[in-house]
Amino acid sequence: MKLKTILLSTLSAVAIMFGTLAPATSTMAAESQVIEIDDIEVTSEQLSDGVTVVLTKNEDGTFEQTVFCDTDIASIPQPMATADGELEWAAFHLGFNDWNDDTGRLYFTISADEPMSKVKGNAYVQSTSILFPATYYSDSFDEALGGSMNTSCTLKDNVDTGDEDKVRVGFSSVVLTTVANEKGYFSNTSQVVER
Amino acid sequence: MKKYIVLDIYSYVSKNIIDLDQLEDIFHKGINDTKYVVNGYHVERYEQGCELKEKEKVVSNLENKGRSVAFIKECEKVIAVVGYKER
Repeated sequence: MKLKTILLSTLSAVAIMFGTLAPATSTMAAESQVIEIDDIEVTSEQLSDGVTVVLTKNEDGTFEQTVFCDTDIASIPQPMATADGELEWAAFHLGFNDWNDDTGRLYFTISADEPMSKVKGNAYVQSTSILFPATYYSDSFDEALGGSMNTSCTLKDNVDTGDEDKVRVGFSSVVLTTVANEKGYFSNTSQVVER
Repeated sequence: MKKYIVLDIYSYVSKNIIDLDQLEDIFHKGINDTKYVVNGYHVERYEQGCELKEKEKVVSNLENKGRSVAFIKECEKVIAVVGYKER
């Protein structure tokens, strides 16, 4: 399947902030940068069961987000992890798997180049109906990460989806806080997952 | 032999050293075999009431969620905390 990388549009109002408010004129790069990362925790199975957002810091200090919803792992930008106390990249994946019969498992995986303190946000599982989507799961989460570098947490292991073959999984207002109290903000996004 | 489902993994080492899939594999092979050691890693169940030297908050959160807890250790250093339940 051809890689389909969705680049978020440059919105100065939605600049990525790390501990301080970004200037109103800050913009995200319009093009995806290919940088080496060794620590992205994403597998092909994860990419096919949900959506992944990767934050990378540009040389000018602005931040870029890339949304991945395909299975070409080799095409994911990979920045070098420096472990210098400064958050330079992070990846958040929301997935829906173990989809047997009528229930599935909703989970997230988060990785960063710095020890992580906590992550919070909202996650949901809905039908794919455009006009009146049914909600199978919708709740906030606030998870302590205890200084970990790569973490996977189950939000709910038995989300009842009835007889659906496709659902939309998405998240909003996800914020990562590192042990050094830096923050990474992931833009809201969603992805249709098929059984 | 009991079988388990891994619901949460908190890894304190870089993915370049060992990734979550590898940690989960070590957990499944070591949770029922106290003698299982691979590349210096082994699995220890957490028993309630045991004194925790580290990772107290993570363990406490997992217990509050109803998970059983295990550690994956390299020598005596905790490199991952696993939340699991019986299948």
